[in-house]
Amino acid sequence: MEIKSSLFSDAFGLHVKNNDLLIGVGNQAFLYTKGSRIELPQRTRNKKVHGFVHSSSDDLVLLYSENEFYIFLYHSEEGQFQLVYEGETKDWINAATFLENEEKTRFVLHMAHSTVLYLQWISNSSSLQDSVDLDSEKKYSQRGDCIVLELACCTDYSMLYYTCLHGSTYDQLVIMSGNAFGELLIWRPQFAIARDDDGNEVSGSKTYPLLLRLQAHNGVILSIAYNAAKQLLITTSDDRSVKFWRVANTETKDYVDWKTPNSVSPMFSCFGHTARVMCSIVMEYGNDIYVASGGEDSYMCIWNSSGELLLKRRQQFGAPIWQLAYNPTTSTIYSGGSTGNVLTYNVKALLEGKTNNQLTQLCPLDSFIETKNEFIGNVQFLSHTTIIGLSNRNRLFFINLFTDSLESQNWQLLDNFPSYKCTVLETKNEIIATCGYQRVTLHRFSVKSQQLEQLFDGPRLKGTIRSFHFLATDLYLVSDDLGNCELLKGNDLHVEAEISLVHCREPWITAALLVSPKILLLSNRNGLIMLFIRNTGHNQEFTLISQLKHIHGNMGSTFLNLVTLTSKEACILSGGHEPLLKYLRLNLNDYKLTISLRKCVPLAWIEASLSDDIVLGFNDNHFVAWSQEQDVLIQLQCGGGHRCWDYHLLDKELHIIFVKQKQVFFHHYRLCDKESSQGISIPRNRWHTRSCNSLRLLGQIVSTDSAHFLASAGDDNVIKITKYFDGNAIQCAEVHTHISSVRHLTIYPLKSKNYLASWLIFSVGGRAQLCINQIDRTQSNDCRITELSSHTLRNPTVADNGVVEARLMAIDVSRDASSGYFMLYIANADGKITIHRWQIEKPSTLEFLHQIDLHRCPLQLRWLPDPSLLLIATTNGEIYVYDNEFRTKMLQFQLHETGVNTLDAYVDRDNIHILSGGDDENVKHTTINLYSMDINQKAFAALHNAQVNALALYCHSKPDGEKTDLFGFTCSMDKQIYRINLQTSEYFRVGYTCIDDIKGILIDENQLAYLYGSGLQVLPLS
Amino acid sequence: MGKTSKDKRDVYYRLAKEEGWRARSAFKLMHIDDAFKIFSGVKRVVDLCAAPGSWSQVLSRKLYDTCETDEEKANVKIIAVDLQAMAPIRGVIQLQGDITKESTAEAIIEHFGEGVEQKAQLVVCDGAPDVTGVHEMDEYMQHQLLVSALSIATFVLEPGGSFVAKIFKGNDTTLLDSQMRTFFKHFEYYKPLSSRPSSIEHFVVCRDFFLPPGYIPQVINPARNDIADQARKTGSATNRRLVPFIAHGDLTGVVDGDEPLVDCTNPSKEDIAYAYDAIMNDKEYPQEFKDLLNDIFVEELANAKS
Repeated sequence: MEIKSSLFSDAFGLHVKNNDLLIGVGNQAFLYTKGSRIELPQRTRNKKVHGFVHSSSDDLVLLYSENEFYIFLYHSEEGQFQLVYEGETKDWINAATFLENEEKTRFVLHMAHSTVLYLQWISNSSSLQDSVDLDSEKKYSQRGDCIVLELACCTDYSMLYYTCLHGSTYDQLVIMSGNAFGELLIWRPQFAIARDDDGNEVSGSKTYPLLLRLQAHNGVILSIAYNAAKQLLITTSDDRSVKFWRVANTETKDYVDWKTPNSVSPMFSCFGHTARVMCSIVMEYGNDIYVASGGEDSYMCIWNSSGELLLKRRQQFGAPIWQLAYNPTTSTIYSGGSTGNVLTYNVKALLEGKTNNQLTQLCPLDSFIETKNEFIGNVQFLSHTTIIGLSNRNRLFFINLFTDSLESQNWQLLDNFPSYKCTVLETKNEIIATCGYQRVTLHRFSVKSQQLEQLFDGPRLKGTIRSFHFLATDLYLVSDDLGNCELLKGNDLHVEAEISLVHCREPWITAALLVSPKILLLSNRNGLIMLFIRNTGHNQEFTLISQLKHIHGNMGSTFLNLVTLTSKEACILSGGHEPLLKYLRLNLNDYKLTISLRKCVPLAWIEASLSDDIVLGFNDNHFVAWSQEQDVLIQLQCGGGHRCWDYHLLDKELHIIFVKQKQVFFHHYRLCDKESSQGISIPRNRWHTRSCNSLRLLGQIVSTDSAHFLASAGDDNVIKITKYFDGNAIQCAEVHTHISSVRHLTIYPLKSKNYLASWLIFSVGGRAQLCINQIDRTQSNDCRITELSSHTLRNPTVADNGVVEARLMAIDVSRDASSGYFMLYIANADGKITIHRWQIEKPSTLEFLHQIDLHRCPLQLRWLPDPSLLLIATTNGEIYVYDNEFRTKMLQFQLHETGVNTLDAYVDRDNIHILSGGDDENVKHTTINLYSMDINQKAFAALHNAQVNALALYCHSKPDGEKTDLFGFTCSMDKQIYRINLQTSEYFRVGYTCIDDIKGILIDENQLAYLYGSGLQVLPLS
Repeated sequence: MGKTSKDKRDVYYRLAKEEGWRARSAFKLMHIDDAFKIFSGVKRVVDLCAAPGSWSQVLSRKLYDTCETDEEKANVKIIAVDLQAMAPIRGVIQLQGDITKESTAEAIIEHFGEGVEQKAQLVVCDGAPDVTGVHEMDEYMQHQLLVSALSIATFVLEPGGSFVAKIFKGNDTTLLDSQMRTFFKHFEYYKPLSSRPSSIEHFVVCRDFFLPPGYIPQVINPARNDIADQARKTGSATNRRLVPFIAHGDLTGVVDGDEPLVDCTNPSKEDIAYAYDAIMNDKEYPQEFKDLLNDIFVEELANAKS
């Protein structure tokens, strides 16, 4: 069976070809059609694909990558591409186009120093006739040749970052480029000038004058888009702006004279991005024209022809957007990002004027009812279409939506409502609860008959009632500002039980959940979670069993949702005034309540969770609905998060109402399962949006298991558990405990009774943070995460414990077999190496044991269990060998000239083998004899010509139990992968990776290499 | 809390603030000097891509401020070149211009004059093109800038002079090694302690400048396909061979005007053998290039279809 490889790397190339989509991910290229994916032959191409163009006859596709280009013949019936030409230029190709109105095989390439190659591909026609037969040999054979029709240069030769080519013939070609100084340069291969100082025209190439030089931006011009019919030119830049330019025709109106100074005049400068604007496209919809821009900030902005921002949307989950493309047939925008994802967004509704941010203002009270200065102050949904409103004069109104047009709907007074100063309005299933000072009222409102029926009105509690919660049918919970709390039951609201809350300022309840008839979970306004258990005795009182302090800072939970309930445990989701959702785990045997997992969301204030995927809340002055799958769904300017609002969801139709400046606003949104499947479906990877710094294989559990589990962590502060199986990477879980970037992680397998397998993950990173998490693989093959602890390491020798230490660089652990204690060896960026003791039974306690100071930033740390030795390598290239308690320094020697970027060690009977790579571009194999401590070194300086950042040792057990030779695999910033036989010192190049900024390599038992850094590549090496 | 760790993270940033340097990169030049003594005995320096001016500051403090007499000070000549103007620095003459342009080279030369004894003893360049976030493109553009800086250095350096420039060391630097060795007897890559360990930033430190016999300095516009013609302008045979090589590493000799400029990617064995023989038998080719090419050709010959 062929071992499948996979690659998550920059998606630079993106091109719509009819209704199909050409995508370049790293050095790979694919054509996505409806329902299928075809890979373009790769052969020896190892540079990243930067762009595609296709001929008007559709059967030729040109791909360019850095300074190489490739021509493919597309056999649409077979659904196959045939590589027919490979070429190389001397400069970076930054644009290409086929010339539509010339022979189909003519095209131009534009290079980064204002040169144009005008080329024609001539097919070897006889061989093309039988080319349908695409056996593997012929598939790659060179068919035909490229001839140079002209080499054209411009008189300006500054370095160009982006070029836009326009024209259907070479004579009409207009070349618009942007340089690093923010200048827009325009020229045409027309009216060549003599280039020689003596006035002689030189053969072979022609030089053409620059027609226009325009100071357009205060920074590099990163993209240019041009629509000739609408006379619109767009430039985007490093300076974060998107600029609109009007292109004026001459008086005869049939062409543009670029030489006239007014041919390009500024229209608007648009600001919407907070980082470099990398790409832009012009879209036509009906008779209108729109512009989409994509930025390094991951946002896509859509502008209309007046330069107004119609939509700003985070499109790539935080990863930079490199490229945009538009399919006019389906009104779909595709975005290509740095994680290799191509994501779709349909703009049809937006361009039709049905924006997602449209709000309907409901009519004010006084427009229909004889009243003055009265307005709706609080609103609640009673059903999907009926809203209850409470006015500032404590009168109750209702309004029905959708029976007619919204604007003509009016509020109707419910005049049998007893008017008193209401502090609470809550509704559920036609029941309306209102509360005030020592008073609770319960009504039933029939949506059908529109009649209000009073169920109860009477005194309860002793102070002003601040909360009313519907716990279950006929079961309610009220609390007041004096800290009284009662469980009420039935339509007569008889007091079922009194609950004594913890006394504090503002003690009332913000969220309540009846986990089971006996278990009640409450959150008060001070951020305290309280667990109450009902006594089985005859008084049936609730007893406070345990509490969790400040799970959302100093504010209470906004909601407590029951996620799962089994006989053993309950899982509860809590949200609050912070950008974190927290999953609580309640053990039903011992009632132990713990935070098991947190999830970061891009909302400052979470108010509700609709499903596992969607949360509602507020950001600054916006109401936001956010989906983990689709990012921001709705963003409504509402003025802030303190206001009265409500939502109602029915059959994916989400209704939202809120009060802003004494007015009631309504919004509806249809949730969809993802982008509708009528278009092209491109799978999304969930790899780290920033550099991945550390990766570990969790190992196979059973030998027949072909899936691997990976634990990875990176600069996006996230630890991910990914299942890798047959070329597919499926994310199983995420851990969000780190507040800064994660530098390094290590794993330790645990013996587990209840699960298939369990591991501890120890991770360290910025802000001196150490996190310990447990991962269990359940019988149903899910991954279950338990956050055990998070520690900020402080310097134990400094009296003031408030001083936070620097970043933690590396960690390794060992376990004492008898006591079960873990020894944590942690390398701190300020040069200190510490040993701490930790046990799984008391996860929040970290006991400091010992420390040494190397006065140098350590980069690598490795614990070798069998000889009980610790290896530490530093930024000045030294390696230290210590015993397990740091009492004796066994060795210290210079391993590399400068920093040791990567290190792996293997112990055979008598020797420690250390393979290391450094900033000095060297790879070294060091053996240390365990008895004599003699050092033997061998250097492999010739392997790489950039810093060596990744290597791994590999020693495979053959089926007969015998071990193979010891091999090392190395990779450097030069992207080459080498394999070294450490017995014979023979080495050879085994491959090439597309991963930028490589951070490491792992080899599994099948010789599958996992290369990580800016992206992930899994590559078979055998 | 966040602030403490941020300040602590970069010791050079803090030091630069304390000592009044315009950027932390000042330490990089000082560290290079510590390692290579590039300032010793130096009076005449060109700082290319100088803004915001931290390297000019170092030059001013180390070379100008240390002079005891006005006469000595008059002998110190520090010329800072950048596209944008910067705040004045004691003893530094500022020039505004693009280092990829011939006019800039001419303006610098004017300040030094023709005589060997008046030429610069050191050319430094800490310039980096605006970073796009696209790694390969950034490396490429940096390489282009370095070639421009090198070509200016060939004009203004006295024999035995030094050249220090920033480089992003990624994929493609073997070629650059040879390009530098064309003009300098000693050539090294150096990463100062103050350069962040995680970055691919390095510095080329080239010492003992010499002009290859017959080579006439000229401004090279890197990566232009008209490079061969440009090389012809000087009328020097050496230039014809070396200029294309310096600009884009083309060792296959001068490209003739009428020849197709697109490389044939599947050359036959005979083609490779021919090119190999042509280079190896050429006495004017420096030996180190031949050594370098030998391996490449042997591999290519092995791979080529006969």
